[in-house]
Amino acid sequence: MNKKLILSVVVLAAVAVVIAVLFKSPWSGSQTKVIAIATLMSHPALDGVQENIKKELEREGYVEGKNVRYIVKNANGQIQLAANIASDLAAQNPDVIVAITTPMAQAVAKVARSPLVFAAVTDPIGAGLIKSLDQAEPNITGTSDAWPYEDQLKLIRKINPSAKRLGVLFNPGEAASQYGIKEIRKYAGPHGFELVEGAVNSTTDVYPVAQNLVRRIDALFLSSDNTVIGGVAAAVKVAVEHKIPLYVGDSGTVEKGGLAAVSVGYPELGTETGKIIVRVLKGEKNIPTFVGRSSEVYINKKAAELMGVTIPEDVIKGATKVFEEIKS
Amino acid sequence: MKSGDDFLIVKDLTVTFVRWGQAVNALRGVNLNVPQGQWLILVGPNGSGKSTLLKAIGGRIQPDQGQALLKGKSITALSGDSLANEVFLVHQDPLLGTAHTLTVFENLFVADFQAQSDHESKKLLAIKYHDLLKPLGLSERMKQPVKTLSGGERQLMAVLIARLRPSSVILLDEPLAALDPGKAELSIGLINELNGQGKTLIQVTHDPELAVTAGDRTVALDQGRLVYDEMATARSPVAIRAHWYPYPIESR
Amino acid sequence: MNWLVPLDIGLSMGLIFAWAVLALALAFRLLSFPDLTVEGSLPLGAAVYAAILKSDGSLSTAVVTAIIAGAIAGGLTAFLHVRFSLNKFLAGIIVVAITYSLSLRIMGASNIGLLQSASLFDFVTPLDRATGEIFHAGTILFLAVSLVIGATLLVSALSSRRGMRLRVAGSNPEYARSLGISVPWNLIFGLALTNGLAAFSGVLLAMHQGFADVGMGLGVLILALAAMTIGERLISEKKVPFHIFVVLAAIFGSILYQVLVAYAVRMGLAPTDLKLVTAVLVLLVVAFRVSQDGELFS
Repeated sequence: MNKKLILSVVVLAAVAVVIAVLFKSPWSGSQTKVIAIATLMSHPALDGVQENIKKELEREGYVEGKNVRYIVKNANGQIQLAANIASDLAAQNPDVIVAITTPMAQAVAKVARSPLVFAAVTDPIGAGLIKSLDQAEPNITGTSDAWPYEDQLKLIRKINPSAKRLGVLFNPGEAASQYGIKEIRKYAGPHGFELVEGAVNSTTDVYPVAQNLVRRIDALFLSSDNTVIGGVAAAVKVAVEHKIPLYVGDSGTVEKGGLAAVSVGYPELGTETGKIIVRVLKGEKNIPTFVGRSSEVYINKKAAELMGVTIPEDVIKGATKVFEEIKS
Repeated sequence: MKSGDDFLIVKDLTVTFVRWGQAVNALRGVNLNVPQGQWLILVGPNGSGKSTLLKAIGGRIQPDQGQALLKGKSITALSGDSLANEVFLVHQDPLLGTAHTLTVFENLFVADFQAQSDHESKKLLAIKYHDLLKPLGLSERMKQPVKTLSGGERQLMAVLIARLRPSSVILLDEPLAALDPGKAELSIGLINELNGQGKTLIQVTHDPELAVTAGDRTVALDQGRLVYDEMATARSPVAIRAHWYPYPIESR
Repeated sequence: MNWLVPLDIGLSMGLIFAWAVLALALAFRLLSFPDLTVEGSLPLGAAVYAAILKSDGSLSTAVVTAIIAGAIAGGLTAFLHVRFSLNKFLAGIIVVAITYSLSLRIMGASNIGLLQSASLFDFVTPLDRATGEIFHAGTILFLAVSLVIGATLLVSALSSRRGMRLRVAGSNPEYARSLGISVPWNLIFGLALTNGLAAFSGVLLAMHQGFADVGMGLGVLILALAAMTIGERLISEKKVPFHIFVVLAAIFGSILYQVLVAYAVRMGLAPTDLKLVTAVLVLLVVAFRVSQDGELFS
């Protein structure tokens, strides 16, 4: 218990010093607002939210380095770290904690006394964060990315009038998807769709599961799922190979090759979240949750070309944004 | 021998197994009658089936034909518990005879059939084991995990454990093979004690001396068959050696 | 003062995960069974616990049922190995897959929020508040006391005659056979016991973090292995009986590991770097051990 322990501790201390030097955070004055941002993982849609939060705050006069200090933590997909990160942030007592993704929001809600603003949590009621959308909690608020599922299905119907069987990829292990798939099931039948569900447990499953489904379906749909979105490139490949339209759920994924999406607009969600954060920083309480209901249409022309799909003119005209290329 | 004396009977025992793609007839119709309390020495060249015979009597192997009977009951029919109480096998490999993460005391305790309750006995047991371990030079090691003991010491312990068992039949597979002369002597002493307690012993040995001097009876196996069987008084050293080394040897 | 916060977090998490590390260490060291089931029984325990609480079950029912669920999972792994001669790793992997689907079904969702639910920690919340928010004395006290009680019960059970027979079955199956000890039954019983402990770890974790999520188990195995390795180098093996050594190593290893993780998180280490640093640390700790037997897998 002796030499070995001391040696290990010394080495650890050395490592710690080195890392502390590398990750030095700027000194903050007393007028500086401390904003903590904690996410479970990164991917394009979530990153877009973070970016736009910072942009919106800047617009309102909260500039990083001047009067705002950000503490950003990313659990890189490891749920066990959620509690760790949440406790760590809670102890630092920031002015507001922004939590992205459901488990992170739950972990923060459990331990933090700072106001919590959750972002892009699909089902905040189901997660236990708030009781209802109309009634606000004093210290918990945020934005929800509950999808306009019905509008999405309507769009598919418009672009592919004869499509019957719709393949849906989702990860049953994600809270957002559990909620989403129920909604999709609800609206599928009335709109003339027969669902073929493909469960995906990790990003590497996207390719084989898509391959498996593709011959039995008329169109493929990627749900609003962190796991599935991570494998969008594979899904695009399969869709292009078999000339099947690939529908997705957010603008970032359309940019990466999804044919079309009716989305809440994650960047806009980020902006709305930023607005709420500003209100919280100013001391407001009891802010009701904002649900992104904007039905914005995003199209990718290149994807349409590759998948052999003709998009009706009026859809293109009414789109919020049309991407010309597929970004890799 | 009167049939009423039947204790350990091996009848027509045949065991075949496949080794490296070849069918090996380890035992071919072996017949043996061992009266209670006898000390049987088993010899034979390598591969003659000695270990297989022990394992069959010890219930580790199922015979393909024939059977081993103890007091009229087939050994394969006995359940794990009852078999363990009747027959005890001391392995050739010293590491198999004790549980290496448990202490010397614990190994003895677990094997000690008479140690029923957990509580006050432990102190008395410690004294008892101390006395048993003293002649073996292991009494100071009682609290140490067995893995700190050498192979030879563990082998000695295995034989000592045989002493604590209630089994009436003790099978010893080359118990002296891994021991230096000092320990071998101690082991022989222990085995003698076992014999003195009236246990039926079957001891496999490679030691020519022992084959002639120890035990009440010597049998030899060769290629799965019983080829020699004589009581101690009628034993011929030359004959025994011949069964060991089926090839002629130069006289020493 | 702020720099003590990771110590507080590390202690809590370390004490919570200690049950899972114990589960792995006991199976590994005393039963010679590399038990992967832990990665499944921990989230299963959390799932069962959360599901029962959500349907208005009582706290005690939820906790006890969760532990039993974990025990069944462990018993199943041993059973698959014993009855179908499935490789030990494979048996564990299969059961983890089973528990994943089971957890989803039991919860009816991939995640259940427990923010409004009762928890065992409620009893100590006043103490937490009293000691100020940097140090959660109540939580840590509760976790430490329950762990000490649990560990003491474990050790005395393992020291008993039955416990010895269990250890013999794990240490030397051939010898166990000679003594009439049933190795299959002891393996099943042993793994059931250890995975009940892992499930309890999951329950505590769910209570502490405020939710049960089906993905909670991911990475528990590596965590437990790292903790076990660190702990075994910390405690001197020669000074205590082996089974006590394993228990102590598991507990202190878990605590030290989580404290290190907490400091790494505080210093802004990305979790990907965190894994690297953990691996390096474990290697360093192992490398400094000068011994005759440097084996990790005995």
